Formats: sequence, structure tokens, C-alpha cells
Amino acid sequence: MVITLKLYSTLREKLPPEARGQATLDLHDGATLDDLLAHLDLPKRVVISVNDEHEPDLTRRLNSGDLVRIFSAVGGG
Amino acid sequence: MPHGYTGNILHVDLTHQTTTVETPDEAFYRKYMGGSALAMFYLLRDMPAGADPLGPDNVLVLALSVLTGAPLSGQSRMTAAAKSPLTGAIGDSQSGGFWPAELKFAGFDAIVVKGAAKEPVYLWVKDGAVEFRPAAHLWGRITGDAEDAIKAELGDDKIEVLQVGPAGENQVRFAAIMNMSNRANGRTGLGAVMGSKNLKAIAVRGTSKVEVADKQAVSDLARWGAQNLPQSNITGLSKYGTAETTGANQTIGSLPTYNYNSGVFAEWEAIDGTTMYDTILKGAEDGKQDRLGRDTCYACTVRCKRVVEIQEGPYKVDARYGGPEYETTSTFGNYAGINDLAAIAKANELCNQYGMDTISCGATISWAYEAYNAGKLSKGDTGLDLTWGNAESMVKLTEMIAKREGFGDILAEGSARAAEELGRGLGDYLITVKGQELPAHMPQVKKSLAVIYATNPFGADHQSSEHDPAVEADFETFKDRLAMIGVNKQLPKRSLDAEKIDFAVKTQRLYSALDSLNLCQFVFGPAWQLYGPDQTVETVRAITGWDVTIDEIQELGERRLNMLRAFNAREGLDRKEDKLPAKLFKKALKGGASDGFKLDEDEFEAALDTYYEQSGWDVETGNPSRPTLERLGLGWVADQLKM
Repeated sequence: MVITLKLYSTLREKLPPEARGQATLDLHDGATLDDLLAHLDLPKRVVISVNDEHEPDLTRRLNSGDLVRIFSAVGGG
Repeated sequence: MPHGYTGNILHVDLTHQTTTVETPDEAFYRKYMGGSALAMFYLLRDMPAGADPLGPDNVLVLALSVLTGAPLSGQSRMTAAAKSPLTGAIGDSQSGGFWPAELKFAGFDAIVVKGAAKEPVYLWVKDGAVEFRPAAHLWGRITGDAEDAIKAELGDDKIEVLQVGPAGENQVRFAAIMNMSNRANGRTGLGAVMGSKNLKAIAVRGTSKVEVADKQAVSDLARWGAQNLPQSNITGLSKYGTAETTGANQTIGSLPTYNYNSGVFAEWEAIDGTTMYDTILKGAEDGKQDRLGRDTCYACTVRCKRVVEIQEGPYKVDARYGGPEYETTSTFGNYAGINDLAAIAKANELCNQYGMDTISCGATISWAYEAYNAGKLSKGDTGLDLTWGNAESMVKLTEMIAKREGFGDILAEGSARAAEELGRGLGDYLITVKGQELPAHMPQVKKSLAVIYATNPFGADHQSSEHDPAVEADFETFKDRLAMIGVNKQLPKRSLDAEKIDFAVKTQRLYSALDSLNLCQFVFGPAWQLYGPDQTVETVRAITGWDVTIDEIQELGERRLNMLRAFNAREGLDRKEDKLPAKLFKKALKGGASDGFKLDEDEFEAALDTYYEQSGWDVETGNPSRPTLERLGLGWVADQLKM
């Protein structure tokens, strides 16, 4: 199962600098957002969209072709 | 010098060009501590009720705290306060930079400015000495030019300059007070107050140092902050700026778009903080952003301030005027459907050159865009095509407002006055509270903000309380810190019951205390900030030597809030002014995670009742009660109000 991943702000530093936060990942079938966070060694306190829709449920199973965006969850003004 | 403060309050009479120095005792400093609370003491004591905000009776206070100038991140900040020409209520605004610490080194904790000069003047404050100097040659000059001229004529490049730009001189009702030509006391129009007094600038230079009570403890706190910053929740803000939150706000449907009609903007990624870092932050072309594109305040290791440089294309931007934060990318961006980051950076540069609040300026422009797109304003009215997304017109309008040219002269009054002047039902498109435009965090999504925006004494403000996610989805992460101020329970998403109000009130008190301690709200706070409530207490103890507790800090915040509300009560304001824009109740948001969201009138009014009750205020009027004022040592304020 192949998904497109986009990481923002400091989270993208989990990927090589030349990737600029974007990568294509091959995950096992049935992988969840929780699995993805563990794979990337990311904290659970993040904001995630799947195919540009907010997804707060980390048990959500991903499908091939999904676009997953992950943002830091912070306040600020 | 006592620990942390100088003991000197400088009073400036512009009408008679005289100065006096007041030396309050330690009990005074312990009670008010500085910043906004200290400023309120002088406004309530020295300003007559009913003063014209743009007349000589208005009093402008620039106040530091007992912590300003100590060698620690997040302390070089100051409060500007006066009666607001935008709202007619109390005006209150915070800023960082190097000017605050420099004023402390020059020997003063605050400057209280009264009267008005006949001709433009500026003040030169150096090591306890104060001089009035003519400023006619500086009048009309943009901030960078005026700053250079003052430094040149005083012959010292290390001088820090606080000033108004041409917008303040022109009394644009949301004019800002600027320092470093890129730091703003932006909100509530206090630049217009300074301009109305013919006070162009205050230049400061000092060579004294702040004596702290416990050097080792201050050093330990500083070291802890520097060591923990990389793993902290603010490391993204420091590197990518507050606009790094654009994508998260888009995802949860809290990115105000098309003048607050939607919580999502399809082209958000074009104006996001990560994009800014990669494209227009100074040094981006050769990967040197972290060295060249991030500025700081005195003694702060966080270095969150944006420095943007654009040398090519239609919108060239000079790095000395800084760069846009999230509020600015929103108000000049998604508010009007604009996806051009260079144009947004240009509008930000213009606001810093002319001295204007980017939030009210951008939101006033987006109000005009909605009216135009609804067919209620025409090109004949505006002289410009205000179709959603038109970046060129947005940039032109920004300059026209500062110069009060054409349609810009109407918008320079703020959107509420402009709607009243133009009629035609344009009030339906307003997004104002007490006449001040809403910031870019949506109360339809983060519902405690509905109550805070409505009741905040100086108009809607996003930095007066912790936002709902901290007690909702993120509670587990922050529960230890929240418990320190008595917030102990996770709450359901989008609730607005008594428990949510309790969270809002308690975090509001801490934020209010931070604005009196003049501490940065990214560095200190109740949840995601670098330092928590316990370390806020440790900081006050280490610098002043006072045995403060978190309860005393919370009471300081409560005292300041009561003084702000009491000022408004004295001006005749009450619960009737604690209203949100009608469209937030009538029009459901469109698109994204907040599709269909709107506020409920009954729930909101019940929440207001609860808020006043929990604050110890009169539920009918929303004003402070005598018992509450007396409990806070403010019986003299109750006497003023003839309670």
C-alpha cells in the first residue's frame, strides 16, 4: 500500500532535508495512522488530515493512494 | 536599585513640557508588578472619565514590569495603555523587542504621558535624564527613516526608538506604536493616541543593569529554557514562525476565510509558515534562514521573529521591517481569499513602515471585500476592484489607509465606523467586538473564545486565555501544568458549559498576569509554552526575591482584569457591549471540518452569566462588584465608581 505523506514545520525534519517534508511511503496493508506515527517516530499530539479531511481518530486505516498531512498541534497568534 | 525594578515612574506633561519622577514603595510594586496592571493604576488615577481618546486628557502609559531586563528569555516586553480611539473602551497592547529592556537600563519602570505638545516633539531618555526635542523634521517620515534620523542626530547607534509612523500622525484609529521599526503595540489604536499628542518618538539609552535577587536561580531557569527549547512545543514557532499553525487551523476548520464565512481556505499552503521559511525568509535562497531570517528580543534564546526579504518581483520587501506572523498572513491572506505570500509580506512591511495594526487593517479590508463581493460596494465607492483574492488592491488599500487617501480615509476609521458612515446594511458584514476586528482564531470552533472575545475589555483578543484544545484533545499532554491553576478535568470538544468557563477564567487570569509581568506568552503560560505556571512563580521569586505563590500570580491577573473592566464601567460600558458579531450566530460556516458551525444565542448568553458569576461580577451589568474590588485591594476603584 502506497501513500503520499506531507509533513510540516519541525515534523518534516523526520525526513531528509531534500525531501522538503514530502515522501511516498510503502506501508503494510491495513496500516493505521497510529502505525504511521510509530513508523515515523512522531508524537501522538499532532493534527492530521487524510485526503484533506481532518482525522482525529488514530485507528483510522489507510488506503493506497491516500494523502496524509501531519502538522504540529500548537497554540499561537 | 531594588531587585528587578528601578523604583522610578517618569511622568511627562507634554502640554507644559515638564517631567517629574514618582517613586512608589515596594508594596505598590508587589501589588501591581508592572505592565498592564501598573498602567491601569495610572489611567484610573490620572485620567478623567469621558476623556476624548484623541484629546489631551487621554493618558498614555508605557509600562515595564519588575522582571523586564533580567537575563532570561521572554522578559523584554512592555505594555501600552490608554483610552482607545477605536473602541472608546480601555486600550491595551503588548510588544516585545529591545526597547523595553533599554528603558529599564535607562532608569525607569514606566512612562506616563499626559497632555499634548503644540508642535511635534520626541523624548530623549538617557540614564535618568529626559529631554524634549523638536520632531517637525521627523513628522511624515516612515519608521525606518525616522529611526535612522534620531540615531544619527543623537550620535549613538545603540539607542532604541519607540515611535509612531505616518498612520499614527494621521490618527488612523488602528495605528500602532512601533519599536525597532518592526515590533508593534498593535491593537486598539494607541499609535493614534501618541500621534494626537504630537509625540513622534521616545528614544532611550541606558547603561545600568537589572539587579536580581537570586542570580543562580535566574541562571538555572535560563539554562533550563535553552536546554529544553529544542524538545519543547514552541520549537516550531521559533523556527517557522506562528504561521506554522496555518495548516493545523485549516485542518480543524479554524482558518477564518472570506471575512469569517468559512473556516477553510483552499490555497492555505501558499501562505503557510513552512512555505514562508522555504521561500521568502531572509537567507532562504542558500539555506541560511536560521541565521539570517530569525530575529529576537533582548536576552531571548527563542528567536521567533520573522525577517523577510524579497528583492525581485512586484512586491519587494526590506528585511528591516520584519515579516508576517500568523495573524498577519491570515488577515491579509485568507480573510480576503488572498494566496500571494509576497503581497502579504508587502502589506506587513507597509503596516510596519506607517505604523498600523495588521489585524485590524487586514480585517477592515476583508470587510470591504465582502461588501464589494455582495454588491453593496462598487468600484465607484472604492476606486479599486475588491474581488476576493485580489492581492494588488489589498496592498494599495493598506497604503491608502495609512495616508488616509480616497476610500482608505473611510477605512482608516475602522470597519465599524466605516459601516456606520456608509450605511447600506454594511453592518451585516462586520466582524467586530466593541468596534475592534476579530483575530484569526474562530470562536465557532474554539467556543470558550466566544465568551473571551465578547467580554475582553479591550475588544476581541486571542491572547487573553488558553484556547480550548488544551483542555479538550490535548488535555493529557498538559494536565500537570493545568492542574497548577486548578484545571483538573478533560472537557468535551466544543463544550461551553460551566466547566469550560472555569477553564477560560482560570487561564485568562494567568494570561492577564503575564501581561502585567510583561512576560512573552510563547515562553510562559499554562500549557504548551516553554515555561509553565510553576516556573512563572520561580521566575518572579528569583528576580524580585518576593515569596510569591501561584495564587498571588493568579490574583494579580484577576486584579488587572477588574481594573480594565472598571475603567470601561467608568466610561459607561456594560454587558450591552459584550456582544459578538451577529453573523457568527446567523451564518453557518461553509466547508471543511467546521462546515455548518455557528454559535447559539441562548448557549452564549448563559455562558456570559456563568462567566460574570465566576468572575465575581454583577451578572446584569457585567461590571465588577464592590466586594470583588475590595478583595483585590481595589476599594479605591469602587469609590471612583461610586458603588
